[in-house]
Amino acid sequence: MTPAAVGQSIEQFRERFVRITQEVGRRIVGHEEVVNLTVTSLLAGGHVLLEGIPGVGKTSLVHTLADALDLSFSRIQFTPDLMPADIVGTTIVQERPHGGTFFEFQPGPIFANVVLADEINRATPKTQSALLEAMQDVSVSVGKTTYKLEQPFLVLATQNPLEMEGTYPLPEAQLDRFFFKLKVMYPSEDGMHEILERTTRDAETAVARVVDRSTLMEMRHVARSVAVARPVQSYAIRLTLGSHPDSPYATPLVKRYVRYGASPRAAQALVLGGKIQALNRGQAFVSIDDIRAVALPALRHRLLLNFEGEANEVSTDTIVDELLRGIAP
Amino acid sequence: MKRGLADTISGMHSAAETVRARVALADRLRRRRETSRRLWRATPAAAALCAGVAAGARWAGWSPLLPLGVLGLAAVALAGYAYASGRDRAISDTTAADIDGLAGLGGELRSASWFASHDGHDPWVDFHLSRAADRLQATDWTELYPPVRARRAKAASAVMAIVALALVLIVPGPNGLHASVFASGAPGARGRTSLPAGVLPADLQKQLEELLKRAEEGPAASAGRALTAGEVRDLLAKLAQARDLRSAKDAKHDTNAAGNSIGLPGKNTDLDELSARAKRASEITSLSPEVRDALADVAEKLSDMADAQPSSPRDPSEAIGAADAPKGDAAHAKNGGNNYDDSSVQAVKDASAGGGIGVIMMANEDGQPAGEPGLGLGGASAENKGGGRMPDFAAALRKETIASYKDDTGEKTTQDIRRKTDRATATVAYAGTQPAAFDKGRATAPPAVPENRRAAVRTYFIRKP
Repeated sequence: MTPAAVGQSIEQFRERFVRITQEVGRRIVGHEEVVNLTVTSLLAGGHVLLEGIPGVGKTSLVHTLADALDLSFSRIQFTPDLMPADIVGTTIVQERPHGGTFFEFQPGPIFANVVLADEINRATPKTQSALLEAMQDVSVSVGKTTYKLEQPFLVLATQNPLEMEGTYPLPEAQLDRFFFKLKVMYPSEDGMHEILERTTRDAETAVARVVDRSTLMEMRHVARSVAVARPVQSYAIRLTLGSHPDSPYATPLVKRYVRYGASPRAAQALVLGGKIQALNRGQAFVSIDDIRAVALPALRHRLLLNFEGEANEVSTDTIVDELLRGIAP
Repeated sequence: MKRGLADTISGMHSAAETVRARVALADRLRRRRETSRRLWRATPAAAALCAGVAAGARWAGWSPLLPLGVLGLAAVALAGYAYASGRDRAISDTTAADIDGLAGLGGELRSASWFASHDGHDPWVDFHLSRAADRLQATDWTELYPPVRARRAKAASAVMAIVALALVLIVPGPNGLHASVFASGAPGARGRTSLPAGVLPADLQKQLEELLKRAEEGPAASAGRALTAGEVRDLLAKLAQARDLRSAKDAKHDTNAAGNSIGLPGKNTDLDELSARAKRASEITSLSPEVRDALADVAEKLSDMADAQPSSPRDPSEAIGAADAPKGDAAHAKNGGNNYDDSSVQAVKDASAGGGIGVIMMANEDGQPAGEPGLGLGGASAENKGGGRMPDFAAALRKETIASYKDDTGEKTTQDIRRKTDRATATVAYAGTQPAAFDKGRATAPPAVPENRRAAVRTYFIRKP
């Protein structure tokens, strides 16, 4: 690849990125940053946990994204009685046309490019754990057979932060597998006007498929080619290490309220997210600002608070903000 | 922009070098600016220091090389700092980040600087470097780091340096202001002439030295001009006249504000020397007996003049009271400083314990009993009259107390004087005193308390509970 080709790749990447976000924005109102970061996660090969009160457009966002991408899509409504086999699939007995029976694997809804795990915290941990292998290794093991999932594979999970009754908080291992945790906030007054105008008419806003699978994979490849200088990478590492209470980079809030800090996956998310942010700016290098732009969604769900933090209802966003202020770039 | 980018891409091998060069240039300008700011912050202070040293050297009569040396040292130090700061050095990431932040390059310079300083070939890195090189070349670094003007600092430094040089080079006098002031015979100046200014008139001193020279050479070397007793007596008369004139001046000077008198020189060794020469000349047997007698008188007169020359005070405040202080043991005890010391107080206590004799033994400066003990304030070297010192008041008051006590008894008493020995209290002496009638004439009034010391005296004698 020549430097000239690099320049073209960057321009193409940026153009496609903008097209995806614009297409999603035709249906989703007032959540530009959420859309941007969701697409970033998609291009980085990570999964997204969307958290927000009911009715703010979490599910619609995932639907719209799936519509904009020429990818297979499936939705799993997580309920307390949902079983792992309902997600990954099961082996059933089939009859042969000429007599006799055989076992055949019936793939579950997880066999899709984009999977919406709606209300993921309503399923039991046992069922939630069915996603672990799929999310990390992009494969599913049933019996003695392991089935590879088709790339790109993206899990977009939603959860409601208010209703805690009858829900099962996601285990740490599950949370850590989400590339970003995005908070879908309540729309503004102008956004509400826009939502009403779009959704209370007879005509439905159509979303075009702007990116196919191969293009998406190419974009992923481009994203991983961006150069990262060692000082910038060092900053990402220091941010990750600083979330541990026994680290020399730890801030006072971390020392007081955090039991366990972020895993190395957080550093990966910081750098990969930074790369895509850099490409989205049309640059071939990652800057400190790119890292900082993705620090909050990459770290907030990876901090495990201690008892004091839980009792004082300390927000992990506050702790990450302090990390960003306290650790010199 | 695209054309420039293409050109840079075609010369890809130089992209890293260009980045390094531009970052180094930016760093050089940045350090130069920072160095200039620091230098112009320090230069006025250094110049002021040099001016101060020059003024001090002028006043104290130090060598003029000292301020010049300080000036040169300061210049060398500042130049050395400027040189050390201006040398090329490796660009650290912190430096690159600072430059990047000031130039608003969004981290491109910082990242490119790191990649340019590390080996590795990658199309993305090359592309990054080429774009960074284009952007850095388009950046006007002199606008980002303009030269420091510091007009006020420059003006202040120039003025201070000129003042320092003027003090060293232009102000006349080889030994500085201090020496020139005293050499001019200003009041209170510490002269360094052979004789103290004003002790002997110059012509009289010349005559004296000439006469002594003639006496020492003897009649044979006088070439017909034998020294006569009349000449010596004339000189003796002039000396007496000069001494009287000097005494009158001293008296007038003492009544005036004595603060102007920083101090005449101490006991004059030159007068002593002249006196000794005259004494030796009086022992030359080749001279006539009359001449020898006259020379002996001259020697005695010079010795008296040397003794009468007041001691030099240690400081101006001491000189103020020196003329007014009573000469006596108590005064001697006071001469050591402004504060009455323990030895003098103890001496007064001893005198009190001595009973009716009223002997007051005061310590002198060296802590030794001053001269021959006597009654009351008397002392061996009591010459000055007046008062105003705490020990004097204490001594006078003690004397009054003792005298009153003795006057009140009216009977012959025997009083044992006991002293503490190492083993016990023992009677060492008996003193009998003759009963005396009360005589007010014996009660001398204490010296007048100067107005400015009354508060101190009141505080001294009236103790607060």
